[in-house]
Amino acid sequence: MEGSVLTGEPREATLEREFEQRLADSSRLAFRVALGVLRHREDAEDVAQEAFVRAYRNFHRLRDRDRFQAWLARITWRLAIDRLRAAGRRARYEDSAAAEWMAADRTESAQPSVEQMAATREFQRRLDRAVDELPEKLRAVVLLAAIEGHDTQEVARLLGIPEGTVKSRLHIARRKLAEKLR
Amino acid sequence: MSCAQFRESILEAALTPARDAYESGLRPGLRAHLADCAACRELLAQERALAGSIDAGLRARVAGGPSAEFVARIRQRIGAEPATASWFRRWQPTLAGAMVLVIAVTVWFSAPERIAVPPQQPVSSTPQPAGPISPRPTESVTTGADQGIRPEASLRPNVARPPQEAQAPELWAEVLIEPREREGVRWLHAALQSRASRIAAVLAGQGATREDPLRPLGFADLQVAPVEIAPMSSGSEAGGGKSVAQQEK
Repeated sequence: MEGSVLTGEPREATLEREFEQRLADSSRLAFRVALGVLRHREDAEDVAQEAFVRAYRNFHRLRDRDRFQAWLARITWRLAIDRLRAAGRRARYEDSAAAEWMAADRTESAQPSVEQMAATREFQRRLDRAVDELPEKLRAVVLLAAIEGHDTQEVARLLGIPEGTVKSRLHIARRKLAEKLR
Repeated sequence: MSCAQFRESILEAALTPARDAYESGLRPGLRAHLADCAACRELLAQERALAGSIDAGLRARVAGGPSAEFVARIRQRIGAEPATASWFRRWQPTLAGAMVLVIAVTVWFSAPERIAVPPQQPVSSTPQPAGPISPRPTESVTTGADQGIRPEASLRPNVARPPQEAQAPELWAEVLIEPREREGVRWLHAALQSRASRIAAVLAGQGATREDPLRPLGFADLQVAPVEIAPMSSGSEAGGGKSVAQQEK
């Protein structure tokens, strides 16, 4: 059995150590990808955990370890989509997401009025619905781009597509969303 | 230009991600129109606000991080994986391939050596349908392989043939033809016999023996016999017709 050339440790141990490092680096990404699809924190955590378990099972097959995050993001996305389809809990997700945005919004601005809160909640519902109705390719781009710190280059790396494609898809997605929310 | 002509440009410009550099990126024509048109400025402001709300809503949708126990739970789930799963999954494709190979070899060697085709018996002349229509005279042409056409055929190449194959029964074929086709059939048979004997002569010159796989080129004699079929309406006398066999060499 081959092992680490530098440390001489067995291959299994090297893989474990590498995976542990990836786990620490990518847990937030997996969670956010799942949350973007599911809009429910507990389910998103569960799906992200499942994605890590699957990644762990097949980690030895991943030749280019630098592509771990892209690989993990795709696994998570697929699992989250499957979960969403299987669960059919869209209504529950809508309320949850709206409540979360309300909480996030309060921290950024002064106390909103009741009308503002209602308008915000209604707008978030409509936005979530519009995002869910986007074709999967557009939805993936728009949600990955919305994750903090992700520019179009990062989204292109995660999805394995050219940056120009990301930009055009992003523009189309935003235009579609604006048309539905106008 | 009217406001309607600028509308699409305004909507597109409002969605441009880099809104900080928006003003400088405006087309000169649009910029001049906005300077004069309050309604279009209002539209632009609304669209920019909408785009901003969309961005904020999308960010809110994916905001936040997992709970503090998230990573610990992943480790727990990974630890709960069966110990044998790791090596088994790694060797799973290899094991599956080996099993398929073993099954294929087993099936190959356990199958019968050859697929036997039942020897064809001479086909008797078929009676014509009953009725007032008198049967058309026909002739029975029979040919066979005295040494050539193998009644059994092996579907496997390069497999040693069992000795009993050499004693395979002769194969005879019998067909019904019109009397006017008799000469044509004779001619065809003669031509085939002639070519077969020529090929056999060439093979013999090259040292080929009777055991050569091209043995089926041999043709047997041709027998032409008229067949009489009495109409069904003639009752018990229907079977009274007799065949006259004419043997030719």
